[in-house]
This record gives sequence, C-alpha cells and structure tokens, in this order.
Amino acid sequence: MAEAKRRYGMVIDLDKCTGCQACAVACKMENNVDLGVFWNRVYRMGPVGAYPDAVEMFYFPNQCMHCEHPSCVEVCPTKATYQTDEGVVLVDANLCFGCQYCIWACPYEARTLNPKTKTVEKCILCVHKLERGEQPACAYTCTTGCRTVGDLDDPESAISKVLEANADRVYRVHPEFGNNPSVVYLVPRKGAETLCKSIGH
Amino acid sequence: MASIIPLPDGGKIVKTNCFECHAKCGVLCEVDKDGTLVNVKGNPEDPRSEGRMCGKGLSARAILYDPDRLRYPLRRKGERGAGDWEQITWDEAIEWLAGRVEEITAEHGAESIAYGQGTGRGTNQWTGRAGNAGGRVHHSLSPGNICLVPMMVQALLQFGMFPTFDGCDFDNADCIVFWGSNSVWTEPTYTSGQIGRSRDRGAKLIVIDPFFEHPLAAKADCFLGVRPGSDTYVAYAWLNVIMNEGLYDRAFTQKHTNAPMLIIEGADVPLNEALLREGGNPQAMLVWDRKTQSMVEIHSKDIDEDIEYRGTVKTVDGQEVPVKTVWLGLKERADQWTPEAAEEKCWVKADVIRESARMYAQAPAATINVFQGLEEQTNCKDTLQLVNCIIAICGNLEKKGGNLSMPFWNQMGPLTGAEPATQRELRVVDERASGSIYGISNPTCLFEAMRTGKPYPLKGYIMVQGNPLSWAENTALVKESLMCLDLLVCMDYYMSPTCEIADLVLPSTHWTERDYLADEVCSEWVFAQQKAVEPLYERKSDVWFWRTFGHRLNPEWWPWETDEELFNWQLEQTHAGVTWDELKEAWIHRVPQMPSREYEQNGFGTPTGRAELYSVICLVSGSKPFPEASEPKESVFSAPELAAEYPLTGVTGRRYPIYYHSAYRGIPHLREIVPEPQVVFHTSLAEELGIERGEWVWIESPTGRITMKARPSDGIDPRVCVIPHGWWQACPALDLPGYPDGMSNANTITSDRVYNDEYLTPGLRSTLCRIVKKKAGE
Repeated sequence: MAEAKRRYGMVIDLDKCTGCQACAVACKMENNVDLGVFWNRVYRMGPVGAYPDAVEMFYFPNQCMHCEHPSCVEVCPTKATYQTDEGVVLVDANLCFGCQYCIWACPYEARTLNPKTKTVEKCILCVHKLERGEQPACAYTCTTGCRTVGDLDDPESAISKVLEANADRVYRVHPEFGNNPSVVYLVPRKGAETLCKSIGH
Repeated sequence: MASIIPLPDGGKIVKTNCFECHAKCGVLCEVDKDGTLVNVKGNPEDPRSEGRMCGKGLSARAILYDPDRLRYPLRRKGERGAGDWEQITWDEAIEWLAGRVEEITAEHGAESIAYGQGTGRGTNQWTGRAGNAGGRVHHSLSPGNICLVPMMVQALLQFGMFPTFDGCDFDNADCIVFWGSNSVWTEPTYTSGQIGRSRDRGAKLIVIDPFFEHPLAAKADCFLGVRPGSDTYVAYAWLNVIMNEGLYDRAFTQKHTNAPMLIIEGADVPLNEALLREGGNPQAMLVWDRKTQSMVEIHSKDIDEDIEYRGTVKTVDGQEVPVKTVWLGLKERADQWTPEAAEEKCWVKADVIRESARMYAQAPAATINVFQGLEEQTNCKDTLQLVNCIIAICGNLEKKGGNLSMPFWNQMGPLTGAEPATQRELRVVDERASGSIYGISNPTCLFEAMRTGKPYPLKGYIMVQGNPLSWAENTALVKESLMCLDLLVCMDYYMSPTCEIADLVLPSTHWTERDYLADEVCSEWVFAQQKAVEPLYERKSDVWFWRTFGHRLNPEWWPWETDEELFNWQLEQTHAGVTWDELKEAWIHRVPQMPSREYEQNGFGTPTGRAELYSVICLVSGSKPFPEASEPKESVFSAPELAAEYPLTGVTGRRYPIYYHSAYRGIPHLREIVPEPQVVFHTSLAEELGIERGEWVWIESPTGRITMKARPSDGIDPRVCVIPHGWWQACPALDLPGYPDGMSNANTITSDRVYNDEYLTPGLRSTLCRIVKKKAGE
C-alpha cells in the first residue's frame, strides 16, 4: 500500500525565540554551509518605540518557507529548483547555473548565491534527516523549543496540534503573494503588536 | 560501556558534556573509526537540556581542529612579548616551572607568587587548592570577585545554601524574574526551554535590566529598565510594597526567617542571652515568644515568635535598653523607599515597581535568577542581600517553583583545602575596600605590588584559562604590571594577549579531548565529562596541569598519581555516591540532596538556623548586618563632578550567545554572525552627537578610551550605554581584524578607583563614560 502523502512544514513560535542563533550554527555544521552563505539565520526586529513603555522587539528566524506555491520553482529556467512530493523545495546544484532569478522571485529573501560554487543555495529542511525520521538540525538544537516540524496534512501530528492550540497567533508571511508557506510563525504574545506587521517589509 | 555506543562502521557515539558555559549540557559526540570528531548534538537524556544545545557547543569540531589553537608548551626565548618561543616538552615545562617557583620562593617568599584562572567551569577548586598549597597566602588572582563569589557567598551567609543560580525552578514557577541576568543566553541548559514551557502555561515574566534588548524584555509582563547599579532602590521599593501591603508569607517569615530576632535599637546588634543574665550564652540570640510572654532562644521549638515586638530590656549591668525585631529594623529602612522615592534614583516608574512587586509576591511560587548585572557593582553585597530577603519573606525558598538549594555548592568546600594560617595577615588590600567577607587580596593591589614591590614584591603569576588583559579593570595598568613580573605562566586554548607576554605558555585541551567531572552548575546531577577523542598534539587539561605541577611541588597537598584518583577523591568529598568508573559507565548520576531541603525539621545552615534577613556573619565579619540602600561608589549621584564630564552610565559585559567572554572571535562561522564590537546607545543621543549607525566612535572614561562601532537603539535609556567585552582576537579566514593593545577592550575604560567593601568588586556594570564622534583621520 502506498504511504499517505505528507506535506512537511515547520511552526516557529516567535514568542519563545530568544535570538540565540543556535539554529543558524546547527545548520552550518550539519550541512557544511560555506562562509558567507546562510540557509537560516535569526534577525533582531527592533527595538523601536518610545523607551521604556512603548518599545517593541522580537527575533525573527528566517529561512526558506517551503511554499506550497513556490515562486522560485516557477521562474527557474533550468528546473534546478523543484518541489518534492512532500512539499520540500530543493535546488539541484548540477542544474543550477546561478542566474539568480529565483533570488529575485523569492518574497522571503531565503536564497543566497554561493560565491564559491556560483549556484544558489537555501534551507533543505534537512530532508536527509527527515527521511531517517529525525528532526532538522535547527529544530533539534533550538534552545527554546520554538520549532515544531512535521506533517501539516496529518491532524494528529505535533505540528498540527501546535497550530490548532495557537490558532489566534498563526501568521504566514506575505499572504498577499499567495505562496502559502509551509513555514508558519506564531506571533509573540506580547512586545511586538505593531512591529510584527513589518515582517517581510 | 553504556556511555560509549559503537557504530556499525567502526565509529562510536560518546556521551559527554560540553563546557562552553558553566551549565554543561549533555552531548552526543560522534567519532569516526579513525578517531576524528565528526558531529556533536545535544543528548536528550540530559534532564536539563533535553537535547538542546547552543551555537558555542555546536561549534566543537571547528574549535577542536582550529589551526590557531595552541599545540605545544612554549617557553619564552627573547624579550618579553617579542613572540620568540622555543617548543619544549611537558616534562621540561613542569621541571623548569617548579625550579622557578622554588627560586622565587627562596628569594622573595611564597607570598610573592599568585595563582589564578579565568572562568573555571570546573577548575575553581583546583586553582584555589594551588593557591592554598602555594604557601603563606592565597591571593586568588582570578575574576571571582566579579563572577560567582558575591552571589554565592552572600546566599550561603544568609541561607546556608545557594539557590539563585542553577536552583531556579523555572519549570514549576508561576512567576519568573531575571534580575541582572540573561541566563537564556549564558546558561540555556536549564533556562530557555523551561521558560518557554512555563510561559505557555501562563507563568508571569519580570525582567529587571538596563537594556531592552535583553532577549526576554519585550515578552516580559513587566520590564524594569533600571539604572545600572541602582537595584538596591528597586529591591527596597519591592520590600516596601510587599511589607506594607501584607503580601509576604507570614508563616514562613515568622517561623523560618530571623525576622523575629531581637536587636538592640541604634546599635543594631543582636540581643543575646549574656546581656540579660550572668552566665548567659553570648551566642544565644533571642526572640519574643507570645505564648510564654518571654524572651527565648531563637532555635527554640513550639514558640509563637512575634515579628513586630518592640520593648525595653534590663541588661545585667542594669541598663534599660530598647530592643526591636529584625523585621522592624528592615521595615524602617524599606519605609523610606516608596516606589515614588525609588523612581527618582533608579529611573523605573513607580507604578511599574508596584505592579512587578505585587506580581512576584502574589504568585503561588516564584523564582528569581540573579547574575553579574547585580554582582559587578560596588554595592553588590547590599543588592544581593536585598534580593535574598525578598525571596525569603515571600516564602519562595526550597519551594517547588521557587529557589532551591543544589548540593554541589555545599559540598565543594573541602576540595580547595584550608587557606594558609597567614592568609589574613598577608593578603593585600587598601583603603579602597577591606574585602571583609571574601578575604583575598584585591586584584588591583596585586597588580600594584607587581609594579611597586609594595607592600611586598609580587614576582610570579601562574594561571589556567585566564586572560587578565581581558577580564581585569584598567587594562593598560594591568599590562604595565604584568610586564614587571619575573614569572608569568598561562595555560590556554589560544595565544591570548596575556600569553603573548608570558614566560611559559601551555596548551589546554578542548572539552572534547579531556576527561573531567561535570558537577558545578549541574543542579542535582553529576556527569562523566569524558573525552570523545584523544588529545591532539601536546594538549593537556587544566586539572591535569594543577595536579601534576602540584604533585611535583607539594605531594602532601596533591597525593594523586592519576587524574582518575583525583576524580574519585572529588566524588568522595562531594558525597556524590558514585566512583569515576561507575560514573563513566552511566554518564549521569543523581547526587543525594545535601543539605536536606527539609528546613522545617533541620532549619537552615546559618547561625540562627533560619533564613537570615539580618546577616549575623556579615556583622561578625565587620560588614553591615542589614542591607542598605547604597549607591554605586562612582555614579551620576555619588560622583557628580565626574558625571559632569562623563554623563553616560556604561554597562560593560553585554553577552553574545555565540561567544564565551573573549573566546571564539577567530571561529569564522561564529565571527560572521557578529563580526565587530558595537556600542549601543539611544537613538536620540546619536542624533544629538551627529553619529550614524555603523560609524566608529570613541568611548571615553576617566580611565581610558576605546573604539567601537556605533549602534543606536530605541531600547535603552538615553543616559545609559552598553559596551560589549572580550574583543581582541582576529579572524584571518574572514579577513577580520584583531584589536591589539586594548583598543576595543571594555576594561580599558573601567575604573580601578572604587570597589565593593565586602567582595572587592569593581563597578564594571556602571562605568561613567561618554561617546565621542571621531574627528577626520582618527
């Protein structure tokens, strides 16, 4: 019997993230990412506002959103960028010739041209680990436990349960583009009421 | 062996512990069949970290194999600091060093050599033992006065235990307070995951910190943007609210603190039995028992202590003396500090002080985590004592979700051995601070002794993992001092600025290549922190060095022939209930809880058997028994002339989650995350000074000046700036520079003029300074 189709996704709870960059380092070590290239890094948003009562700040881990409708796949002239059956967006380095249309098309600034290899790189959701039933390196090491990875199509999965329990905080960046990202954020409970709207801007 | 799991391809997984910070997360190290470390990840079996691990620990491979690491013992050949070295063997190094120590001891006396370290992470006791074994005085030329000692010792004095570090029960707290601490970056092991979980179930969060960029400030229910070093006023205002609104735990305060203890009005000394009757015990302190309407000894059982008693007694010599309780003494002080009065001094709005005090005190269980924001102040004793008072009267000691004792802190004492009989007589302090509680020499006096030979010559300084040209205040003067030494020895990972001017430089093993015990800051556990790979080159562990060097000079102090013998002795002394071999097999072992948490039966380990608001040991040490609302000795209020020239209060020591103090600026994938030192100050000040983001600026103080990149921020009081520390190392792989001669070292500008009286602590977190725009060409 064929296995039921999965759609991998990740929830990142911005209320928990402390900006410690462990995810960024774990990714580098796991995937041997070259210097100058980040598949994943954490940005400090803010602080902005009048000190001390009206300041807002949060940390924003950014990476490939593994969109359901990825703009990068659409524009890639060599089909180097593709989407797996399980919803993970990958780049075949053998086919990529570094035209960078995908970098232009991606609304999430998730892709980098590796200056050494002249090909475009980005988060691969540690598919090699997912295949072994393990978590991506960033989620495994996260010091705060803010990342949950799993099958968005399975209502019993941990990720579906986190989304259900926090329905009021769910935020998909740039909904206006209609990409429907599989990396979903939970906005902070406090301290970023207006600032959150700046994500992606 | 259960802690080493063989892999099908001939490799193995080794269970061990990281020590890139004190808390030492459990780690799974993957080693290939050739003995190369290929991967590290957190071990989910560590009940504290549950598999999580930070960027420093995850960088193990890069640090272990970094070509810039020290590899061999090196002895100076040319002029001091000229960089001319000869490679020698360890046997030669130990023999030569022992010979030099013997010569200097013969010529100048054993008191002329200081022993020290940087952050120990397991070597505290062995460096201390080296100092105690060394001769007539243990100077302890280490940063203990700015890290750990104030908060640990002050807690031990008041509680007989240390519950505000790894004893914070974050997982069960209803309210969590970070007070001058950023433990989610510095010790994520037992903090970060726990905080997130607790907030999910509704726990409240309070952050008291001068910097809104504290990673929890924006999320906090209350953020108190305190003026650096003015925490005494916040704490007294909390006490004011808690005491006057009746929010304290009355039963705990009456039965288990020394609030009811009677003191003589004015003199503020305890009323003792000898004052009341001939032949009375002078060490018997008294309370008023409402049940018998009489004064009884404070340890008495089945009494009804009155915490608000006030009266007069007739002493044996016939005098009428007014007495009152400790509670009233503390309350009189707290009554002066309404939140409104405190606001003027601490710059936190009165309503925020009031709301946060209620939030803490009304929570069923609440925990307070303190750290160096409170320690690195010239008024650290008072602040820490006040925080301890708050914890005690709210009944949060030894309570689930509160602040819990942890065994190691009570068991580590015997490991250092007894201090020399002449310790008090020969330690070096001056009018700046007496060090009445810490009892060591003031580091700055030792540096002075190196330069001047007064009060007696200091000729040698032997340290492991210490880089005083980074950690000690007034760096330029420290360097001048070190240059005067006859013997300077550093054991380190890298050729640090202090190593560069040393006589002997020794290569230290990374945590993946050394065997040791992980016990300090490990809560209720001890771990076998075993090596995953064989040490590379000629690297040895710091513990191996102290033991081997110690054994050569003083075998009666260092009888152990092997590291394993020493580990077994340590486990025995700390009552861990396990041997090294057993621990290595199991990797983790739960340590019996000692002292007992059953304070209702056994009391607390203090002179009164109670949690002490009024510290009896502070009194007998020559310090003040009550906490006072003291001001830092050099601040905008206490040094207004200085502040007119240097109006900003600078916080040095802001942490990075990816660096440990001055370590790892040379690791490329870390340096690319934080490439340069940035000074943070308010956006409005940047506008006023015409400074753009990213511009290199001067930071000037009465002590010196440094340069960093400007990063204006909205998240800070316009009267405060934040100055990171530890910048000296270059990163050749990224073509990023080092910062020689202390040019970007925060301690180049910190003051060596004033110190905390009890703990000899300089005011590193409240340095008066100013930001200056650079002129063209500077």
